[in-house]
Amino acid sequence: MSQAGRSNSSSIRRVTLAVARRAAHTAFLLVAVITLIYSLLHLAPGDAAVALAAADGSDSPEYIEALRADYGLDKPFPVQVATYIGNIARGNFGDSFFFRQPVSELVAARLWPTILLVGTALSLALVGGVLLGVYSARRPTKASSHIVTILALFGFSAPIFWTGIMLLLLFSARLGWLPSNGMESVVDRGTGFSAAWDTMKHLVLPASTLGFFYMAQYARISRATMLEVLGSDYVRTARAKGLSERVVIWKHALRNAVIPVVTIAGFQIAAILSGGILVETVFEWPGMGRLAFEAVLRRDTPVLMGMLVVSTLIVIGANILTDIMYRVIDPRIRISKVV
Amino acid sequence: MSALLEVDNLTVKFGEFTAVDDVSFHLNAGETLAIVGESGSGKTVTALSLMRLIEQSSRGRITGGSIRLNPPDQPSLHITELEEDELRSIRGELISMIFQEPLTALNPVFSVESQLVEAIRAHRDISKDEARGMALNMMEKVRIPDPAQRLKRYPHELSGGMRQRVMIAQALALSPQILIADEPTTALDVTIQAQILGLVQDLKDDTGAAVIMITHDMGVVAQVADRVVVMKQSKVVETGPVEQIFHDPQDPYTKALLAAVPRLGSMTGKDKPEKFPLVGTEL
Repeated sequence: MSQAGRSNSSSIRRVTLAVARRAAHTAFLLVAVITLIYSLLHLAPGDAAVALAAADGSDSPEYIEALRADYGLDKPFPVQVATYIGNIARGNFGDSFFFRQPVSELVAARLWPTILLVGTALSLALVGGVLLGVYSARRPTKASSHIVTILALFGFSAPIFWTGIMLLLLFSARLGWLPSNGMESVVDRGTGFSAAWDTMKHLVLPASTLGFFYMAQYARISRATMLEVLGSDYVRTARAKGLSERVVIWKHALRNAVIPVVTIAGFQIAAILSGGILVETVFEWPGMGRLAFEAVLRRDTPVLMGMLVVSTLIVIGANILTDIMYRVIDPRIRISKVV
Repeated sequence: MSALLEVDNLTVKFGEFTAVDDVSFHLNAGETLAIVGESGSGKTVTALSLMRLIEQSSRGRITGGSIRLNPPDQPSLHITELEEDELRSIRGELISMIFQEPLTALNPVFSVESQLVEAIRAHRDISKDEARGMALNMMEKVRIPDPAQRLKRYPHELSGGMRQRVMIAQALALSPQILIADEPTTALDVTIQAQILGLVQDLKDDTGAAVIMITHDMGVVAQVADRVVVMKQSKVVETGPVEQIFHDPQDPYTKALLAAVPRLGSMTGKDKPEKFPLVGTEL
C-alpha cells in the first residue's frame, strides 16, 4: 500500500514543494492584483496632481507640472506600474499625497487596530456562532432552538451600520456602560493592564457589531451541518461505544460539523475586512478601513494602493491559514491537494 | 437459569408510528440468534433499542415492555429503566454493536488507533500505551495485515472490508457478553462477506460472546444462526431453532421468505429468466 510505504523524507519534500508552489502563486497573484488596481485607479476620473495642488492652494500649471514630475505621474503608465511594483518589492510604498509621509508608516499605524477589531469580531462570530448552532441542533424542535434561528435571521438581515448605531444608542448613550468612539481614552487611560482594559472597553461595541452579523451566519451553518452530523452513522457508533454525550457532541460531531464553517469563514475574510470599514466609520475606530475611505475622498493614490496591497496580503494569508486549518481538522484533505 | 437477555413485549414508537410492536424473544449465553425480516420490519430498531440508542440517534421512544440483561455473576440490569450514565457503562462493555455501513460507521477525522483507544479507555482506567497495546492485539485478532501500520491510518485509507474488521475489533475489544451485528455484510462484496461472517464466528467462539445477527439474507441465517426470530411489519411472526425454521416453517411469511431464496438450477430448461413471486402477494 502506497500510504504505508510513505517515507518521512518524501513527505518533507512534498510539503516543501507545496510551500514553494504556494509562494510562487502568492507573488503572481500580488503582481496581478497590483497591476489591476493601479490600472483602475489610473482610469478613474480626476487628477491627483490637480487635487494636490488644490490642497496646497495653488492652481498654477507650473506647480501642477512640478508635482506631476515629483511623483512620477508624467511617466508612461507601464513604467509607473513597473516602478511601483519594484518599489513595493523593496518595502517602499511611496509617500502619501495628503499627509506627505511614508505610506508604510501610515498603514502600519492602522494595521494593528484593524487586525484587533477584525480578529476579535471573527473569533466572536466563530465561537458564538458554533456554540449557538450546536445548542439549537441538539434541540431542533424546542422553542429555544427557534429563538436561535430567528436571532440568526435577524443578525443576518440587519445592516451592520444600523446594528452599530442601535448598540451605540443603548450601551453608550442610554446606559453609559461603554465608550462610544475611538480605541483609547484621551484622558485617564493609564498604562499596562489598565490601558489594555481601556482598549478592551472601546473594542466591545465595534467588535460585537461586526461579529454579530457573521455570528448569525455561522450559527445557521453550524446548526444545519450539526443536525446532519448528529444523524450520521459515526455519531451512533460513538454512542454505541459508551462515550459520554459531551465527548460525542464536542469531539466526534463538532470536528466534522465545523468544516463547512471554516470554509465559509475563509471565503469571508475579505468581506469582513471591508465590513470593518462601516464599523470603523460608525465607531470612529482608527483602522485601515477609515484610512482607505478617506484616501479615496482625497485621491491619495499611494495610500489607497498601499492599503489594497496590504489587504490583499491579509486575504492571501487568511486563505493559507484556512487551508492549514482544513488539513488539521480533516485528514482526508492532503496538504498537496490544498496548497 | 434465566437467559442472558430477555426481551418482553417491547414496543417502540416514532411519533404515532409503531416500529416495534409487542416483540418478545430471548438470547442464551454463547448462542447466535438471527433476527430476519424485510426492510422496515423493525429489525434494526429492535437492535438499537437493546442498547437504548433509539432515543438519541433516531428520536424513537420505547413505550412499553422490558429488556433485561442477566450478565453472569452480576445482578440483572433492567435496560429500559436505566439512566443515561448507567447505559454508558453497558454500551461497548457488556453489549457492543457493529453496523451495516462500514464506510460511514467510523469517524472520518480520527485515526483508527484513536478510535479504538477511545473505546477501550471509555471503560477501562488504563494508560494510553496500555490501550494501544490492546488495540494492536485486537487488530491482530481480526486478522488485519500489518496491524501496527494500519492503526495509524484514517478510515478513508482502508477498504470497506478492512473498516468492518476495525469495527469488529472495536466492538469486541472489551469482550462484551453480547455482540449485535446489524446487517454487517450487506454493504460488502460476496467474498468479503464470507470472511467477515467467518471472523465473527471465530471471535464469538474465542470470547464466548452471544451474537444477535440481524439480516435479510437467509443464506447468512443458515450459515451462522442457532435460533431465528422472524419479523414482519413490526411484529415477531415466528421464533425457533434454525433447523425448524428451515425444514418446518410454521408461519406463511417464513415459508414465503424461504421460497424467495433462488435455488441453483431452478431455471433449468426455461428459455429466459422468470420473475420470482413477490413475498406477501400469495398471503
